[in-house]
Amino acid sequence: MEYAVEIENLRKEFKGFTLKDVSFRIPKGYVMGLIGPNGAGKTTLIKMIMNLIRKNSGRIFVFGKDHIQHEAEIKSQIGFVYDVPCFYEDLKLKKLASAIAPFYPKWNQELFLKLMNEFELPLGKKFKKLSHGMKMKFSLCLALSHDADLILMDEPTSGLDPVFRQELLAQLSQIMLDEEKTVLFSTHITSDLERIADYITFINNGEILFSSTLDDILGKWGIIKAGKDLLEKKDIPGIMRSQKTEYGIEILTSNIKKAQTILPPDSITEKASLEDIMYFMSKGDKHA
Amino acid sequence: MLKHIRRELIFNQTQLYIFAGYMIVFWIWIDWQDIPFRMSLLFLSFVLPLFCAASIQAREEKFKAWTLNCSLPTNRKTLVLARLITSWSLIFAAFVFGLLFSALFQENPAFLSQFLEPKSILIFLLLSSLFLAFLLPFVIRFGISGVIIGLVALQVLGVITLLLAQTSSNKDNILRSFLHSIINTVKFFLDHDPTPGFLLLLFFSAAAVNIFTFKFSQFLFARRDF
Amino acid sequence: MKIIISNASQKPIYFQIAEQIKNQIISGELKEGEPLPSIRKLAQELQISVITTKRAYEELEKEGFIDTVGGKGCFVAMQNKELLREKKMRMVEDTLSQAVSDAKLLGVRLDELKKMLTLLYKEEE
Repeated sequence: MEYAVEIENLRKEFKGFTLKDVSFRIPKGYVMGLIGPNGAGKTTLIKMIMNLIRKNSGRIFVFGKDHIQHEAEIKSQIGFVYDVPCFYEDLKLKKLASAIAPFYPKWNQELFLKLMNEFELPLGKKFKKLSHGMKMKFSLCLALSHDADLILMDEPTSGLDPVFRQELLAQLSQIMLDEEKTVLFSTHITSDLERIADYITFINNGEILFSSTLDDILGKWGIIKAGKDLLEKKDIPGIMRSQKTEYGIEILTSNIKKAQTILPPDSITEKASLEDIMYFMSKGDKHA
Repeated sequence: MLKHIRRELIFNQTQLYIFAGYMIVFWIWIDWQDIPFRMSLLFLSFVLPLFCAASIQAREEKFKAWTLNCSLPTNRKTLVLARLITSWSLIFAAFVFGLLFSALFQENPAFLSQFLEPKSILIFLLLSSLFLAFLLPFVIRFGISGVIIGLVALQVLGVITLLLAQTSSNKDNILRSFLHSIINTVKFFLDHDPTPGFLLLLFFSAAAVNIFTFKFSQFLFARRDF
Repeated sequence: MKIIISNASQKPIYFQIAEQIKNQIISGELKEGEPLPSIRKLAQELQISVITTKRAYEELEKEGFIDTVGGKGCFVAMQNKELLREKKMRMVEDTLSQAVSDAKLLGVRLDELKKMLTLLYKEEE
């Protein structure tokens, strides 16, 4: 298995927030969703891959190469879409593109023009005149025009209306038909990921809580709703978090099938959505 | 490097027009107000680097464009070098533009020819490169506020030096004689044609200062978090 | 090829896909040698993870329903006519045994059941 990104024991200390021992890998050719509540460290992580924020310790490899030793080479293969626009807003789109294009050896001007057309972005328009969604699309357009093998997207869908979101996701689906492309997509809007992600990594308070395939998560994780005394009576297999409610208890488990075998008849099991998981993992009571 | 300079110029192209406009105003002003030549030269040597550093940096900060620049396939050291080269190019271009404007539209050839003397140009290059070298680390580290911090630091340095020189006892002290020797050297340089040896020494000292501050700026920039 | 996934179902998604393709092969809707969409194309169309479609295709290949031709894609495997008939028979048998156990539960007698079966069979003609 080839990995597009490998992060080992990454650490970064800020005042009041620390990214601790973050390790995970993104296999090449897939979409990795990075989920977590606001302030969990998603943006910091993506910026550290791009060396916008310097790490205190740990290692990051992109396409097998150290991300600082081969910084320029690696970045020529990375397309980035940040949550906050970073372009000179008083310039026209074509000017912005012409300043950036020479930096990428694989820049394809024809493709760029075609994508601008497809995304309905007028070349002669100034960046500040674009809506939020169009600014996002422009970033994506630039990222795709140099045949980037890794696309990093930091909260690309937040602030977009539902129609735009669908369009963006459809674009990503189209991109992923090419098995050479890898995408890291950070968001707190988990419903977007359920349609496009292959892997999910959950980060909270600067720590990775789990990293797994979406298939496994949606297939094997579940929520058990039962009477309050269930926890005292039994050990629930795969228990991750629990939350006491007014009338009972809700338990998040990573092995719903096994759990079902030992549950009392008056309990209910349901599939866990990514949103449920995010909620339980951040707010629920921990278990082992 | 060419693509870097092109990038900086495209991103700051509106500033070029402002620079040009500023030079036009400046030349009209010194002509109209009969500002002495030395004063004008000195003024230009300080204002052009200041304006250049400040305007490019201010724009970058306003649009948070460092995120873009640092995400491009390049490294931080190259970005600093590009910023330095672009700044010099702009300063030089503004100077030349001013001269052209004066040559074409003004009626004071004597004044203009003073500016065109090799000595004047050398002084201009020396002073502006030293000033830019001084400003660069502050700007790289602190951004646009770095310009202000740099200027304040310069003033503070000057005031402290003068105070120390004044308040020390009347006996010959090192600082006082050091200051005097500098002032005398500058006066000498301005009044006479310097020897080649002296010029060479000056050149190497200026180069050393520039290289040192440049390397230091690269070091500072590599450590910034965006 | 028609695939409809239910998120509410207890069956994992890859299983649903594999099952539906299997049935279409058995029923003859999908002919021998017919090409199947690539795992990525299918993932795009169904808006699910490519890992899921990959798993579904792996299941089908394991059970001999499809073949992967390197570089060209996946195709419906040549079905052994006997084996196919057997598979189809088993499907009918499964449905019938369900009907039988339901009948027993409700207290329907064998002759009543036979009558029902004959009526239904003739109705379809």
